[in-house]
Amino acid sequence: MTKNWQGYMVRALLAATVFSYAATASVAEEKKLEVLHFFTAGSEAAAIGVIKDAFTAKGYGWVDLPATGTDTLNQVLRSRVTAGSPPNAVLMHSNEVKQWVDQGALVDLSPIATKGNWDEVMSKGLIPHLKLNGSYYGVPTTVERTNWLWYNKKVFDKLGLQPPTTLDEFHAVADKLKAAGVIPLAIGGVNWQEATLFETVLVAVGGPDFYRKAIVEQNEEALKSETMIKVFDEFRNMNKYVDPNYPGRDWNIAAKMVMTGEAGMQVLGDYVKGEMVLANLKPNVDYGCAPPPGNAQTYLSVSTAFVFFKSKDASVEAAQDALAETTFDSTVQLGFNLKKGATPARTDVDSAALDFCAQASYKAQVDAASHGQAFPAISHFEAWSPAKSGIFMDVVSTFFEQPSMTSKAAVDQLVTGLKTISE
Amino acid sequence: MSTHEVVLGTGLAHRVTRVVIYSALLFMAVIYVFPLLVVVLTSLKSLEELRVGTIIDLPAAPTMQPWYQAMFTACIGTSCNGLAPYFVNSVMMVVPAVLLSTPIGAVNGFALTHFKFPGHNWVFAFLLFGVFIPLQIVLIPLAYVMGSLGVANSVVGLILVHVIYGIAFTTLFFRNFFVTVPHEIVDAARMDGARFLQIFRRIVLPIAIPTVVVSVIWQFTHIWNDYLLATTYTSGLTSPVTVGLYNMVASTTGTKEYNVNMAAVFLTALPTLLVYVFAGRYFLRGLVAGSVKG
Amino acid sequence: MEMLSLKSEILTVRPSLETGRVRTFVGRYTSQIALAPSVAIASIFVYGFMLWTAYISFSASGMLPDYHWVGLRQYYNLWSNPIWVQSAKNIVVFTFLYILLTTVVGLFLAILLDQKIRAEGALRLIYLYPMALSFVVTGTAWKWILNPGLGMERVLRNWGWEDFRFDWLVNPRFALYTVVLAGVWQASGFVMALFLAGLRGIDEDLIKAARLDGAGGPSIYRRIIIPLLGPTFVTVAVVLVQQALRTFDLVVALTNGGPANSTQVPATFMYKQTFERSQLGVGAASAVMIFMTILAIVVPYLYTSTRKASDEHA
Repeated sequence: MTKNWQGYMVRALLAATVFSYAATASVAEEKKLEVLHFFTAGSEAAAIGVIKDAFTAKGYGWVDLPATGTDTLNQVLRSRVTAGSPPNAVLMHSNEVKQWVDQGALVDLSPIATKGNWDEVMSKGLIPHLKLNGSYYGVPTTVERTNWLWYNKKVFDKLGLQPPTTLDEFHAVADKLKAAGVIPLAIGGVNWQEATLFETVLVAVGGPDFYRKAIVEQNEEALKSETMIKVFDEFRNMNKYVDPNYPGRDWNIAAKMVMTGEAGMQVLGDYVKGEMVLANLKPNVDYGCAPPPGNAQTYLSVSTAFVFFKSKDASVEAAQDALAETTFDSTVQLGFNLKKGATPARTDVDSAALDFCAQASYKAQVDAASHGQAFPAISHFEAWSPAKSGIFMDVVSTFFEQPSMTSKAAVDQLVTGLKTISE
Repeated sequence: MSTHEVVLGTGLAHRVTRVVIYSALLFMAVIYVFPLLVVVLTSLKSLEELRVGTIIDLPAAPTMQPWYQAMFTACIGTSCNGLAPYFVNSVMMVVPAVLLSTPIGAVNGFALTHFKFPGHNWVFAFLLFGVFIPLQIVLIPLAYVMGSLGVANSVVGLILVHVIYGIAFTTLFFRNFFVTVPHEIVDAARMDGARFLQIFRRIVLPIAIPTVVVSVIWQFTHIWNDYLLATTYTSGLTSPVTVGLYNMVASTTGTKEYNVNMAAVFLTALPTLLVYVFAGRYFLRGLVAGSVKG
Repeated sequence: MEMLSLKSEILTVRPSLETGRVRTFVGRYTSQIALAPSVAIASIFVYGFMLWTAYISFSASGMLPDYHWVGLRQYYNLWSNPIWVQSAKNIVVFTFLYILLTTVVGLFLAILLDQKIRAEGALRLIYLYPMALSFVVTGTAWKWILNPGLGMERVLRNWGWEDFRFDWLVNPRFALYTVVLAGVWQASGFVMALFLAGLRGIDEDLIKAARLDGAGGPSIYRRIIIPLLGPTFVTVAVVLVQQALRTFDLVVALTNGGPANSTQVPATFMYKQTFERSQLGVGAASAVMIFMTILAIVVPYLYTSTRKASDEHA
């Protein structure tokens, strides 16, 4: 009796297991795309939802693979590429597209690009990243300005402050905020946030030409010059204005501190505004946006693009094309960027629909380009390869979080570190 | 097998010593329980209560809402289905992985001790090595192999990996147990003409039940708790619960919901905790029987 | 259901295999046949992969494997990376403190529990339960408790200690100790169990004899019991050291290597280089360093213990 019962149990369990594994295997259905991305903060998730909705409305399926940051995303992507089963669509920073093109891993989007006239309508700065060897391999979702100063308008009004335009003014404003019991600068001790602050200091101290030389051209002399040491010295001053509990803080938590008035300012990209929008705050009423001190003429950009990995399964290709088209659609671009807080990656979108800060960002991009002061940001992998950006961010982050480190030591580490990367 | 009570005294001195010992034990117990207590307390509070109170305040208005959110509605990326789908993955991973790796270890252990052959010690050492290998060293080649077997990014792939790297442990447990089983028992059966599998099933396995328990508990907790392999070889909704938990905690939308996070922490820990509460005694007994002594 | 039962019958009825010469072969080499699959698996998945990674550490591999031999260049790059040097220093400090504190606390608990304690079972369970938890769980829980501002700091401030500051988690000078703390909390119960097993195996007569000689409690422990626990100490040390050297999840969940890389350890460094930084060669070199260190500790131990085992059971 008992034996029979056991046998029955074993068989039932077996049947159940076989059945449930079969069920998971059948997920690979036609017209479904696995989409790996790192847009998980509230505003980002809302923005990517715009693309997802437009895509699924066309009858396709979207399998969401969210990663908690670019680091996690890269890890998932690498292990899946190694295993020979990359996700169908992957969001990455535009400058990372090249390394995958070099591996021959990406789908050529040229037919879609020709049909959509991408050469004409895409923001000029993006094309070198996405059009490689004459073909398009990535479709941009957005262009973002990383050098923004966000401030709590109500706190500034109450204390009679204006957004600082020079570093001296910045110190004066920060000191007044501190005296009033407000944390002057909200930041999270995560390397790319610190690097974003750093690059604005670099522009302010060294000027746009120095940025071009040291960062864009990666000139070693410039990187180890006295000016670079001065940049680190000035960056050290920023330690005074942050609260002690900043290590590890997420950027949107730091943005929240500015929204509530716990902190006065934050230096970070367009996407901060996405969080403001999500919280229903109004520009020039609740918060204000201005270029960081010394950054008025300079536009540092970051952009993200979807790329599509080649698949053994031919039926995926049509869905990949459809996602590329959807992503670059004018309405989707606008809808996405209203939620994201950034600006569309195409030049033919009606900017009247954008809010005050996004319009300013849109205009700054054009102006800076005409002055030759539109540069790729280094904080978001835009200027350097991931390996070199990693070295840069390690040094900047360690320097900021380790008050005993000297500017000289930081510069030395940066220069020797970059030499170990062979590309 | 006896307690010692070495710290003896007489009369008053004895009583004072006992009080000191018990206080020390209780004090340590409080320290050990404290983190779990904080997790549970936090998970029962509303966000508002967390904002004004401290982590050790008792919840004024206990709510199970964070638990519900953690299990079914909390957002991980753009999908807001809580930990539930990840929980299902973990169960589907851990059950077959444990059921496969334990018998393999039992057969290996038996073969290494009662059906000896020249060089059996070398084979044991050869297999045992897997216990000490840092898994980071195998991550990349393993990804290749899993890809070519077609099990990358799937629960089936994780089962395979956990079985493969569990063999060293289960073999160790069973080998160390069977070494203590007198040869006479097996030899007598051999005389009767019973062969390997028969002896194994009818005679050896029944006396090895405590070791089976140790092996099952060990494998269950290790596989359930694994994060490194899970995060490397799965993504999105194929991930087990440890990865789901990490992703939930690491991605914030607006406000950090510490109460939901702590509820998720507790829910993730619950299965292994229950195993310890109900089977921990057998685990200890198995340890004493020499299972983990190298 | 039908299909499954049919299948299991096919599996059980296979008499033809064990006839004639096949039968004698199987009979003679049963052990080897039983062990063969495991040996094959270990050859590929343990030894093969190890060798592959070792080879990659001498190659030019960047984002993906590249079998171009470059000698020791990756090792040079590794040791000229300040974060690796920091990781190496951190792991020495961590391993030392982790083993020391876990052993002391575990032994202390075991000795106390060995005094004919009421409710020993319940107490044992309380000390042991952290071992059941995932490091991700432990890390997340401790991160909350140590959260400057919201955690213990606020508790003590509420108790009236107005300017109490407990910022270890965000202070580069102390963050590593929070990892030690959480690690000791998690592992000491297990060590207690090992010591308790060792204590229970000690012959009561030895202790009685010592007491007759007039020795008091502490000195009996110092002179007799603790020396008798020697083998347990070795086991504990080996178990803990290889655990410590592989520490990964706990750091990821608790501090993610920060602040200022003060809690970066070799395993997190290796993972970062390999999977985030496209530096597969450097990652492989660091994995080899971790592994060599473990080998240096484990091989002598395995050698002596398997030799002892074969002496005992020969």
